[in-house]
Amino acid sequence: MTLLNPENYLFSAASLPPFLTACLLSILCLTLVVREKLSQASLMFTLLILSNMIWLISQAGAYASRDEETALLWIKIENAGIVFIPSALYLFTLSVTQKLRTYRISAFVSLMISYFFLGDVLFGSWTLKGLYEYPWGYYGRYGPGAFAFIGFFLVFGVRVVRLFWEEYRRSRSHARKGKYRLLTEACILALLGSIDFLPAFGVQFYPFGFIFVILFVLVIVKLMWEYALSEITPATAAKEIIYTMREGLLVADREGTVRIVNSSACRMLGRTAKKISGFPVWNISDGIVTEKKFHAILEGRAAQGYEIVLNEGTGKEIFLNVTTSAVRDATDAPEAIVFMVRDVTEERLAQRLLEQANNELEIRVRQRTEELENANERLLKMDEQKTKFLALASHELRTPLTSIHGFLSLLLAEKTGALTDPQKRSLSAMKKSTDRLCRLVADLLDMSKIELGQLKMNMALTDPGELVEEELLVMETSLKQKEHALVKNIEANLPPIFCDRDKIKEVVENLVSNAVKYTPRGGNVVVEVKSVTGGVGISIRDNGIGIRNDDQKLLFEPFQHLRKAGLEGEVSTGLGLALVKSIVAAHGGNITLESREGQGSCFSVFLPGARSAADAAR
Amino acid sequence: MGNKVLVVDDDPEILELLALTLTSSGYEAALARNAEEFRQKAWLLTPDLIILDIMLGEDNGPEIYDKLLAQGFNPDIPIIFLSALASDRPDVAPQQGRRYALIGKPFDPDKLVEEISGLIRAA
Repeated sequence: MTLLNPENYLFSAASLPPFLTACLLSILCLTLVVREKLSQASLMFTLLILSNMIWLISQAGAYASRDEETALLWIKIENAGIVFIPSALYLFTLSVTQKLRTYRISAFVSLMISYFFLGDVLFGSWTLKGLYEYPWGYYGRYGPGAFAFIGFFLVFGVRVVRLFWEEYRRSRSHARKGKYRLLTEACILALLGSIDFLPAFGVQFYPFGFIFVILFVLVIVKLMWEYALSEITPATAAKEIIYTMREGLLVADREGTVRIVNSSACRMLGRTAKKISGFPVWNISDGIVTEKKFHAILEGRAAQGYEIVLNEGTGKEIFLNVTTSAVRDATDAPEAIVFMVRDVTEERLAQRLLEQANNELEIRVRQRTEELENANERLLKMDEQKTKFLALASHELRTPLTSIHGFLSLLLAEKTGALTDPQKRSLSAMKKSTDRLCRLVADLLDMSKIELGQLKMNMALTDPGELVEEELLVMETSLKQKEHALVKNIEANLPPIFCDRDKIKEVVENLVSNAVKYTPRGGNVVVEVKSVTGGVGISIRDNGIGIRNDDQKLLFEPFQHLRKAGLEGEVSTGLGLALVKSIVAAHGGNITLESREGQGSCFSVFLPGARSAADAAR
Repeated sequence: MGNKVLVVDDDPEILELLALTLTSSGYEAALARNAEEFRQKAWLLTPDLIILDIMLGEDNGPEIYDKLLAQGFNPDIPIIFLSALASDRPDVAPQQGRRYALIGKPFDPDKLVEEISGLIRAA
């Protein structure tokens, strides 16, 4: 119990620094274990600290020892701690860098070497040969084995520094870099503690290795303060997030001085962190916030989101979306303002392009619409001019036709003197042609009037059956000439229709004369008039040549001339069916066609009854 | 001499045709080529019937006729309007009982004569 006997000790001021350093280490070790929640790295660190504590406390014990025997015991204990420093440091490093599994063999070897030296220190004399008595107290005297130990110490020490340094270089994030930089620095400091080996080789030099240990402690404290050794804590996560987020982040205190700035913000503002941090936020970049606005935000008077445009030296615009939020203390007083800055340049440029494209499209659509409207107007005008021209032309044609037609009639009636037979035949032929011309002119005039909406209708309440009968009477001659059989199916008590008699007669005449023209001699022409829902149906059916399907669609268009001449050369103006359709439509009715080539055609006209016609007119 | 018919038309050929038609049917034809002649001859000759072209050059036949009536011209004299626009009806509203007819150009001389004799008989 030599070590516990107070009589074996003297007060030694020299033993105080290592002793206090050991106390400091013990506090650090406990704090770290608690803070790291017994993580593997923290346990390895404890091992390292323990070996250092054994070294320092034993050193203090040896300095204070009154006799050699006590001192030697302390020196043995001291070196028992020292031999474990390299392997503990190595284990701690592998644990922090998460490489313990990878380098487990070298870790085991380091421990074995430590055990080997432990055995030699306790029971042998290869490493530790005895004592030196220096002015500050007893000190260990190393033998040749100590060179081997120092070699072991340096090899693993350098390896540890290299491991941390590699991690530092490999790290991309700000937080990891910071952590490994500090660890590298701490290890270098720890290695400098090997200065304490000098007195063990007879160099009379006060061993101030504890100073390096104190510095090591300070660096580790800083490391603990800013980062975790191994596990991710909310603080490191926050830091990691801040420095890796795409959004720029600036935090200014209530005086406006920037306290935190992340790398994204630096990139967006085109300045280094050093040129932003510590400066008033309104000075760092044009327009991110004005001093006035800053205070307004601080007092909650300004909008929390706004957009700014920065102009780079190259003239390139950068659009930044800034969101602000004030950090307040318990009394709701503002403490700081957080600026979140988002680069929206791409969005804005895309938006601008889209707007431009939209505008261009709108202009083009407007231009095209205008062109179409103009073209439409021109077409309408041309169409109106054409119709007017037709009306004028046919009117002007009528006057000379009246003379020709009238004089021919007088000549043929022999009002101007007797005619020879050849003269009569010639005049008859002339009269026939003139009649045809008169008909064409009349049709043209009617057509143009319908198109101009100038056709006047003389509407009267009419019995449709009677009207058709009257017209068929007029047409009897032409039917007989072609030896056609006329079948009339005219219902009795038909509802009256409200119509222009002459016009509807024209419709019947046109349809019947078509049936006559396009049915081979001796055919059948069936005319039906019957009551149908809402009015009267008039149909004219023949067993003539029929109309091709393709032609049926164009049949009612003017000037189509689909069937140029009748079967016996009768001439058609090409206007008849167009006129028929227009007249029927003007009466609120409609016309349909059923026809098969080679089998015949059936034209059906629907005319509304008097009541429906009156309703429609109203 | 037969009944006197005043024919008003700005086209000389039509006038000649009408004159020939009328005279060959036993009527006496008086011819007027414009509105002025129509006014003069209407008052001067007191015809039994008037044939009046609706489009009388720049003038409108029925309008001139209306003015004549307003000046006291005998409304019982029958009148036939001639129109080159076949389906047109004159925009005059003849007073009740007034005898008139509308004949489109080109016309059949025989039918015209029938119309004339009918109207004169009824007068």
